[in-house]
Amino acid sequence: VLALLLAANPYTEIIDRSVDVPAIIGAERFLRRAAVELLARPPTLEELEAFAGRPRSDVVERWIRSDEAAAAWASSWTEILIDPNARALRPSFTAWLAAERRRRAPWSDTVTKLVTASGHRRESPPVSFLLAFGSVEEATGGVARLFLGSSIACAQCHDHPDQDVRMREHYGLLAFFAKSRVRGVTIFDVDRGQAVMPNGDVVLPRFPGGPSMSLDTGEARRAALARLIVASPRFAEATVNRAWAEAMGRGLVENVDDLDDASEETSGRALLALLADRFRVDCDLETLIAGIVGSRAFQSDAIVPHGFEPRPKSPEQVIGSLASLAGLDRPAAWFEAARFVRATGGEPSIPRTAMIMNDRGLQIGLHHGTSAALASIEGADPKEAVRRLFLIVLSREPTDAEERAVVGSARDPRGIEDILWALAVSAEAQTHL
Amino acid sequence: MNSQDRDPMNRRTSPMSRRAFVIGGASIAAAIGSRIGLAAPAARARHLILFWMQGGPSQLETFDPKVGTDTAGPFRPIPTSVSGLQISGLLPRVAKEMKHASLIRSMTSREGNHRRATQRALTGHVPGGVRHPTVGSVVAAIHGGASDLPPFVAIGGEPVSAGYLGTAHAPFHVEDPGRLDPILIPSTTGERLDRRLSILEAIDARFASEQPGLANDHVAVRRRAVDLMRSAAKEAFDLSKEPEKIRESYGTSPIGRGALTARRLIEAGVRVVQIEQAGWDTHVENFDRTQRLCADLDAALSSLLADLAASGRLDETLVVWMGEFGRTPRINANRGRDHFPAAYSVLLAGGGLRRGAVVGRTSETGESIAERPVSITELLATMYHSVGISPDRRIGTPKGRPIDAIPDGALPIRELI
Repeated sequence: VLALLLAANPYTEIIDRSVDVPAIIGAERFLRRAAVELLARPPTLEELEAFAGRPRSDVVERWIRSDEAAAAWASSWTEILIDPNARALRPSFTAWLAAERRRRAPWSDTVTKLVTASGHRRESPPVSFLLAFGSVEEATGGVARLFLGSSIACAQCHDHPDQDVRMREHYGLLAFFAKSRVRGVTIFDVDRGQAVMPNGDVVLPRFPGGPSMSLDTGEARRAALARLIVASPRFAEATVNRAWAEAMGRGLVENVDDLDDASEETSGRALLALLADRFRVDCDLETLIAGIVGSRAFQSDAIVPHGFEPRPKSPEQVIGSLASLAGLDRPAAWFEAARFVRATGGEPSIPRTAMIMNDRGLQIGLHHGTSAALASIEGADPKEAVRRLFLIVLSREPTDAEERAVVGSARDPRGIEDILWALAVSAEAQTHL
Repeated sequence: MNSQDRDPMNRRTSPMSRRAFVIGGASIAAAIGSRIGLAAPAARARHLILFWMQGGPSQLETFDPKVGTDTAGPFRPIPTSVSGLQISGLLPRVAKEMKHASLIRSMTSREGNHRRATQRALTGHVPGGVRHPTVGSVVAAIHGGASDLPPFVAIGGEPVSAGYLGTAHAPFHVEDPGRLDPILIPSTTGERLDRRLSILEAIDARFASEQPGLANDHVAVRRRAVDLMRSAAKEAFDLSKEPEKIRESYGTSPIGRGALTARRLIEAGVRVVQIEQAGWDTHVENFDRTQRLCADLDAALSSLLADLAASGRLDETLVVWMGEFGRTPRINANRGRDHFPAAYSVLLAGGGLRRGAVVGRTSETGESIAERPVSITELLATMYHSVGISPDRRIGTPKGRPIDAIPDGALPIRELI
């Protein structure tokens, strides 16, 4: 018992003590929910069979340590970190982020690289993070929003009552970038440069809530900023809250970009503080995510406060699910072709639905996928074929009514393909359940 | 206030909130009210075509040319079909159609950053916090479509979101105007498609009975997608149906194909078309580049105005030409002009607005506004007025928080209505 307790995920323990979950989901649903969350695809037939009886924390550990999980995580966090319109910057950035994750770099180290990176984006992929903002004002607001959960960008609002105070705070943060320059897709630092407010005042670098930076330490401004960010109590809270929102569908503080939002309910803040205290120990995002996914809150059968919320799959999860179904090895070109799935986010839209129904690459993939599916059900009667198709796409067995509705089509390869198509297009397949 | 209000692209949406916000306009209409009870204007226009000049078009090389100043540039103004009105010589065909249009030469704002200025210009709201829908999404959401086609189509540029209205009200995005997007061509047809759809209906019906909040949006959107795939109306996207002479008149440039597609879409019942012409961020070689851009724009805009006027559709179609800001009269060391939100121009045509008018005036050099500054919200209020939406219209977010379409109470520009 002692050994088990020692090995248990510390975050799971905190969450299970804090969130009241009357009932958790069954094995198949759990495998589906965890695989979609960690791998951005449903579990395979083999995984469903092999893992159904295993302890759930073992399954989470096994999946989260995989390269596939690193790639899926990097893809969805690229969505968070890089503006969707900065399309060209994304692939190399995602590859870099996945490598950071594979070597389990502490998140504080990764963020330091994002804030301080210099050089050409090809030699130094993390520079894409700052490049994608397109302006130093946007970068300042983005850094505050993403790493401090602070809406300091709103300081640019012209009509805020504390306009002057907020402007100074914004320009104080902006001043950390005042000696950084962008040329094409290269970032470099120079000796000169000041942050000047619209009224002409020169503002020294100043971290929110702290003193102005002393200019005679010789420390580079962006290095100082990174040091102050990762040391800030807000850093752990903002990171944990964002990871929580990704997995559960809603942040402990719902507005992930602004932890100060006064209109927020406060019931999640205590749990957030506990989790953030643990996160500061090692800034290990992988253990945090494993802890969230392993918790009863993630596995809740009903919608409870601070529990998992069923929702439309994210773009990465839609693409990943279709690619795995069609046997596509997630080729970059297909991702690019999946523009509509990305452009419309997780919500349904006509272009996105039309694309899933008609995209030629996907149709060819489904056709070949059918062959693989057929191979796995060779010799099976139509009922068994239908059962397997439902498990492959929806991770569940068909109901009697569904079986009656489709079994007549399951007698020939064309019919199998039609069932597979309908399953792939279905609302249930588009949902993170 | 919640994260969903702020970021419609994010997926942290509760099933409850989506259930409360059904696609198609019915529940939007219920969620929309009037702030102070101004009556909606009699809707004269039914359609909006927005020429979006990405990057910030130079007013000096388009609709506010200067003469005899150091910064006027090499191009000469020319007379137009409106007595006493001159525009840039780079737009000779548009000059002939100016009798259908009016100009605002005194647009002014404080946003000089592309992204922020774009959001401000297209939504009327200061960026930050809530993600507001663009004017196209608001018009499309309130009026809906009149055919199997999507109510809002955006041609060129990057796909844009509909802010808090949700992706159901985001534009259908066309990357390459002129041809039918292959995703609208059904992968199977006839009986086989029927069989697939009947299987799909059975699977979706079970899911809808268990999780209606999650299933209904998907099912509604999917049915609309199938209707569109099977509809003859989708041929509006296909310019090979147009006579070659017409295609030549609009030009084969992206903006030319986009403008001709826009005309066809409007005729087929689409409510809003936004066409983007990229490349107006002319920090370097402004004069070479505006010459090329204007050549394509001249053919596209003039052909569209002439066609709409000839067919009588201009009265019911508001055409707007705008970008996120203008450009400095000052010419920089790279023969370019830089961002200039302080004083720039916008063109409006049709839609029941006054024609041949010029609102406002810039100083001799164009460095400042000499007369009648016009804000972005006044422009948007005018656009909304033209398409029958009261400027005090309120729009409900998915969580029921009402937001004013026009945030500062601005009223339509009276000189144009």
